[in-house]
Amino acid sequence: MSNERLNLADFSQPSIRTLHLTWFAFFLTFVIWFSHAPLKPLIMETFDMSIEQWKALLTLNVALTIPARIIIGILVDKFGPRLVYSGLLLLSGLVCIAFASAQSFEQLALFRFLLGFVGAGFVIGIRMVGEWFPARQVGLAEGIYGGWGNFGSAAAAFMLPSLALVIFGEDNGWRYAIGSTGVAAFLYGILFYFKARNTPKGSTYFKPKKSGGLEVTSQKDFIFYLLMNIPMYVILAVLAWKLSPAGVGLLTVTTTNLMYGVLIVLFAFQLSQILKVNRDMLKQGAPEHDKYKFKQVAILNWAYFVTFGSELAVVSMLPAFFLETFDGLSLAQAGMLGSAYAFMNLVARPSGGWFSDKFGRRMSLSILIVGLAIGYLVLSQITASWPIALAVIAVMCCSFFVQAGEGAVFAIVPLIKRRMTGQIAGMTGAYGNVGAVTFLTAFTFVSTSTFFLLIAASAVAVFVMVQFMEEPQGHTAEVDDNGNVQLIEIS
Amino acid sequence: MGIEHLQSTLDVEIHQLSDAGRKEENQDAIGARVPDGSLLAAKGFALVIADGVSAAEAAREASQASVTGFLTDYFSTPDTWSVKRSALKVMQSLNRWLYGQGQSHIQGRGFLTTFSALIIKSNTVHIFHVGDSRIYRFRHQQLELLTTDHTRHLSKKQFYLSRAMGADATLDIDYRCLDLQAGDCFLLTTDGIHDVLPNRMLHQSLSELPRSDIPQYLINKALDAGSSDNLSCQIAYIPQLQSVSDQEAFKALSELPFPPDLDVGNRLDGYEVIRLLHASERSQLYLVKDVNGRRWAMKTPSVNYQDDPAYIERFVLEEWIASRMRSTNIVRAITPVQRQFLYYLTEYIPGQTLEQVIHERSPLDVKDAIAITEQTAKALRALHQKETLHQDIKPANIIISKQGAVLIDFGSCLVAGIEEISAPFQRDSALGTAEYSAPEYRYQGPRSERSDQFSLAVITYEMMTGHHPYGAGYTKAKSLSDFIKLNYQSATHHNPLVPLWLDGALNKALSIKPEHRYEVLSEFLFDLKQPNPNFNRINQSSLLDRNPLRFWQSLAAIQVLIILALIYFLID
Repeated sequence: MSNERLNLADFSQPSIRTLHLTWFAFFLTFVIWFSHAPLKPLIMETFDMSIEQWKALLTLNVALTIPARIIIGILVDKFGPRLVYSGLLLLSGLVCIAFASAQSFEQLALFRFLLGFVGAGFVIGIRMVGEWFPARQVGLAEGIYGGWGNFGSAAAAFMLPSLALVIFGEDNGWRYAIGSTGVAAFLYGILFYFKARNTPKGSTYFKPKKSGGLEVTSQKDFIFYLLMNIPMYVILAVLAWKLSPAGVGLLTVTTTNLMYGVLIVLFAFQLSQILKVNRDMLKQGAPEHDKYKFKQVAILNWAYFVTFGSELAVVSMLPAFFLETFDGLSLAQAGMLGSAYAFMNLVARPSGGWFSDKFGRRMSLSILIVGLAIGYLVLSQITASWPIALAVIAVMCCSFFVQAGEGAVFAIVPLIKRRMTGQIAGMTGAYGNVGAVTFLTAFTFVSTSTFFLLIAASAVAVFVMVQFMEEPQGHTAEVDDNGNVQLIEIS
Repeated sequence: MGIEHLQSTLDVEIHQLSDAGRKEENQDAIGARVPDGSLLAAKGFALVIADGVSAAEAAREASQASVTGFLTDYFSTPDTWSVKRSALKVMQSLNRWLYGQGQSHIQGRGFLTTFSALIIKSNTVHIFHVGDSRIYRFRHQQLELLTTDHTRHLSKKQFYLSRAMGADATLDIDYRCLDLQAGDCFLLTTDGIHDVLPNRMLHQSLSELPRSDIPQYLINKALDAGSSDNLSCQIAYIPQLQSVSDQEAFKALSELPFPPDLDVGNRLDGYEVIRLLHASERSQLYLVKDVNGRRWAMKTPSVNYQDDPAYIERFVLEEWIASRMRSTNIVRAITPVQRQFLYYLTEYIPGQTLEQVIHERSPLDVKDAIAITEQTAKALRALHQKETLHQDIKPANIIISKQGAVLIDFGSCLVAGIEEISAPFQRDSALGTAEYSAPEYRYQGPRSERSDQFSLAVITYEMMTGHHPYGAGYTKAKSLSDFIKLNYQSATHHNPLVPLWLDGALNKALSIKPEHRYEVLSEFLFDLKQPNPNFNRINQSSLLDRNPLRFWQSLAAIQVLIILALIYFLID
């Protein structure tokens, strides 16, 4: 009846069909989310933008994603992944078309800001894939979903410049190129609604238990958890400040204050959710068997901050970086070179998981983070005098460590507290976005090479943190040479 | 595996004494039983007091037989049963026996007795009562009488018992259910004591004397006060609530580790994996063979739930339930010789699931569909007799084998006897499967055997038509009003071979409101096989019944026309 291993070509299996449907939905969200990055010079030219304004645009793109994750999570609880993914694709398709037809920088910024919502699509598919695959396949299935979906940013960098310049022609080519991704997402949203199903036919439901926030198991951890939520809002506040008259001047004083207000309300809302989930624990304490250390979660959060966060940030600026550093590159070529970074997703993420299983979890993660620190250090040294090929190789090596690091983080997530895997994964993912906003906000202040150095420096800090992580327990059984399943004695 | 995780060590102090007093014969009977281990968890402990009615000649036999009979039989009832059902069943049969004894005796000796039982299970007190013995509760220095004397006064001095065990073939039993608090003390007495001693004295002894002295003290005081009857008194004191600490429960539940993913050829406790039959987000099912080459099905839990006690409890109970059901239509559970890991074994039933059968052959022959319904209903009745709701009847859980339909999954069952035991973790509440579970699961109505009846009827309908009786909208409905808006689509409409009367039976079993369905499953089965004349008139039922909305709309439309016509003619 069911296959032991994942056979991706077996379209007769509803679960495989669902996986393909879902990863492609995620892929499209990523295409839309990063469709602007490889078209930088065209867009800047059309609106006669300053570099400052462009960097603000990049940051705006990831800002809304942080609160959007919370909202999407609630919507998925209420309406199920099928409806929410279709809705997200339809809406973001429309916003994307609006972005493509923007007539002023203000409109452009507004629609980019709204497109931040599309970055929260990841959460929806994770839920869907989780429902469709048994435990032995779900890790691989979610790896494919995440990896192939993330590849969408590479696809955008790879194809959109050619599409804009060659197919549609120069003048408004970028508008048509971006607009066509919006149309594609819109149409796919309709297809998704008709083809996808929330759960396998006839699967049994149990009422979901607590949701809305992470359950922690001691008062100390509760404080720790609250503190860990603050950076998300602080960085958004910094971004709002940057956009205020004190910074780029995109927002008026009133709007800026309104933003601060919205952030406070959001924070209060999240606080109430966290309190709701943990009220019993705070009153009565957590049962002994249920205890886990929040420290582990926090460390993984920061590890994802520096890995996935830097990936999102770098993917947004890399095509332009190539174009500006090396003379004589066409826009399409720069886009393709820039996509080299995200290309590694296909192999790097799974390798990270594999390393982690094979060589110990803390060890693997440490090595990968050192690797990415060195990688970014190297990137900061790239100048016009480098051969382009060498620069591309450096980028690919660096991105291998970054994405393998992401894989290693998610190989540890389910081992912290099995019951709460979803919640821990959600918070870790959110920190990836915090990383993106942080790095891109920093990018608005500094030069490209300092930007890379900054990421390398944060990686070193995270390396130190990872040393405080406790090696999670792995398997409790093994199979001997005769095929007998035996318990491993844990001393 | 079973309910070990719900066991607790019980702290209870019981003192009891019965005395003939000034009478020659002691016609009172008292008894208490505190079982061990899982029986205590499943059934609780019991105190029983009975006072043979002295006007009856076999008073002593009657009271003794009731007390010993109850204490034996109550603890032999299925452990899936609730306390209420168990005790009432046992009392009813004792009553019939006593009544029968009285009837058959040549001189017509009466076997009459009062009967009061106190059962404490988990943290709930259950009281069963007939006659004028009494149960009091002493809590926070307050004495409260929990029972009502079943007596009728003829005059101030004269009164007689209006209810007693053995008086009639049918018996009305008072039942009360109360919560238990730490420090509660219960006092059971016969009228030899409470008729002569004022409440004040009972209160005083309970609050001042050491508990072990109270029975003797009260009996002496009653004798001093001139009691001429037999005197019996029982005391049960519960210093603390029974609580299985979450740690103990989890330890018991997680004693066995989850097995890893198994590959073909792997051996677990000597069982070799032949192939994976099915894997879902919640569990894996393997076909395995033992050393003798016999084939079994092995179900293993999904590592997704490794630290979820509610899931593990459900998993463990699945085997516990399967091993308690005897029916050819229910899969049999096997206990493995040794068990190093958490899994359970059942007989392997070769055959397709009903889901596959429907997929390949729907619509099924009406006769076959009825046969499968009947076999599944047999399995359901076996469950219902054990006060267990299946809650997830669906085609994927039914295997069509040579011996007919066999029910294979018990992962969502609601067992009355288990629900009564409080667990130190939040239990899962099953919502079943959207297409097949009855509406009350989603609008949070009360669940009953009729909920399983609904699911069974959905399957019967699907077998005959290949469709859902309420169409695709059924899975989206959430509230009762959503469900009421849905329209039942006649099975005859999809499959003309389904007779009208059969469609009528399906329609009734598929009623949105449980009270409109069949009272018992057998009536449904009867109507599936015998044309019910009521259902042949279904087409003649008025539009008001079939589609009230359309009826009122049409009525309003006609009115509008009449008004318009009137206006037209009058204005002219």
